[in-house]
Amino acid sequence: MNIPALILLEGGLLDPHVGTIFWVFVTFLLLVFILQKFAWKPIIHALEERQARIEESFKKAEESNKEAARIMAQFDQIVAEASEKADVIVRSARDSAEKIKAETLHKTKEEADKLIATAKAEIDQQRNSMVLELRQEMVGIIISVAGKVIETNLNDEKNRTLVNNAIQNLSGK
Amino acid sequence: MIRGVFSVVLLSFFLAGTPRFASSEPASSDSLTVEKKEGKADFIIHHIVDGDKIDFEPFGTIVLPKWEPIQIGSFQVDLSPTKHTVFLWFNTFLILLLALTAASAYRKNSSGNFIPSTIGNLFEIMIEFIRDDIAKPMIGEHHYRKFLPFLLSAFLFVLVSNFMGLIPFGLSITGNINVTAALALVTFLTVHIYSGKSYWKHIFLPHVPWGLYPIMIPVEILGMFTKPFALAVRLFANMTGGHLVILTFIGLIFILESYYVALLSVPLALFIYLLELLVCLIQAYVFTMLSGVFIGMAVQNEEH
Repeated sequence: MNIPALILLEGGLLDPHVGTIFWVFVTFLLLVFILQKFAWKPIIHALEERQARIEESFKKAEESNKEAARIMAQFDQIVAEASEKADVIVRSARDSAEKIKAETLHKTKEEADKLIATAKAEIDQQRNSMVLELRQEMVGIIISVAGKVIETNLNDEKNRTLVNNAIQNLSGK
Repeated sequence: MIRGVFSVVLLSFFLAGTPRFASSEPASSDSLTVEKKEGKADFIIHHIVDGDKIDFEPFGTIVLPKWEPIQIGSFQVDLSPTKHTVFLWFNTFLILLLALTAASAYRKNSSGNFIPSTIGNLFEIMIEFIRDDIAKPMIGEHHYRKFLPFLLSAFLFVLVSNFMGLIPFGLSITGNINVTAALALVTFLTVHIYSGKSYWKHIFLPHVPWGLYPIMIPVEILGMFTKPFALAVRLFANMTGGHLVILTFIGLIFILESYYVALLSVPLALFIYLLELLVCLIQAYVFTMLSGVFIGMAVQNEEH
């Protein structure tokens, strides 16, 4: 096995063979056309569609993110406004409640005072009348008692005055 | 699984070689003449060159039919199938089977709105690799679409043809200069059918002083043919070289007629085999990339 035999002789490595060239050429061209039509075209088309769809999805996602951020900001603003409004409402409600409370308290006090005053007046009146009554009764009793004790000059105007004075002194104390 | 493939390959080398070894006479240093060495190493060249028999020893041999040569003018063209032609058709069948299976889902659902199958994924990876790393940069955004199918087919064809040589009883048809020449011829025709005005201007009106035209124009015309020639020879030499080295390492066992040689030559052959795995892939890539470069040079419009 020497080099020329390997390469140059009939049936060697570099022996040209038109039949092989022809068959490879024809088969390869057929292969290229069949694969182009039935394999590469659909796969490449699908790949491109998928790429386009992914790009579109990314774009959409970005847009959605922006939209969400915008809505979020809006929402925050609304919440801030609402809480401010709520504060105002609560404050005004508290104010009015306090006012009502004060008014009610005042009115109640007044009424109570009035009631107490009336009650006092009535009590005073009744006491006065009772004192008067008591005094008259006592006068009678004392007179009768004194009449029994003294038995003389009982109906004397002078004595009656004396007793009255005594009683006056008594109640005066 | 890969380990399994290796062991099958190694086993097949032994199976293919053992009968010869057993039938050879016991060695004696005196009888080791040059002629005898030639006879023992003959199987290497038989493995590599084309022929009209497909060797499946020890399971048998298929003898291919011989057709009448066709007379074209004064030339006789023999179109009868050879070993490499049969493997060419087998490879083509294999590629069509794989590619059409992978593409079937895409033909049904053209929007690509589905999860790709395993084989679909492999094809997607390959297509995206060829498209984004070869077609787009070499040919340019405007023209790459037209040539992408050709580059993909060339890559797949060369890749499958290369790898077929690494499986037992297989052979790589890209180790035949005629096959690579035909592939380069397709590239050559593609380049010259689709070439633009600036390509021809570059050849016949190069950007050099007038005085250099007698040198430059022949060089450029020569360049038209050396490019595909280099394409063909590079692929052929790489594939043949790898197989020659593997077969030579195995052949050493039979030439030196000692089992002890196997201790060294089998690991070496295995190493070259692993290297071949890489070379098969790289050569398919290089063939496709250079085809892309040549097409790109032909179709580009802008001056440089």
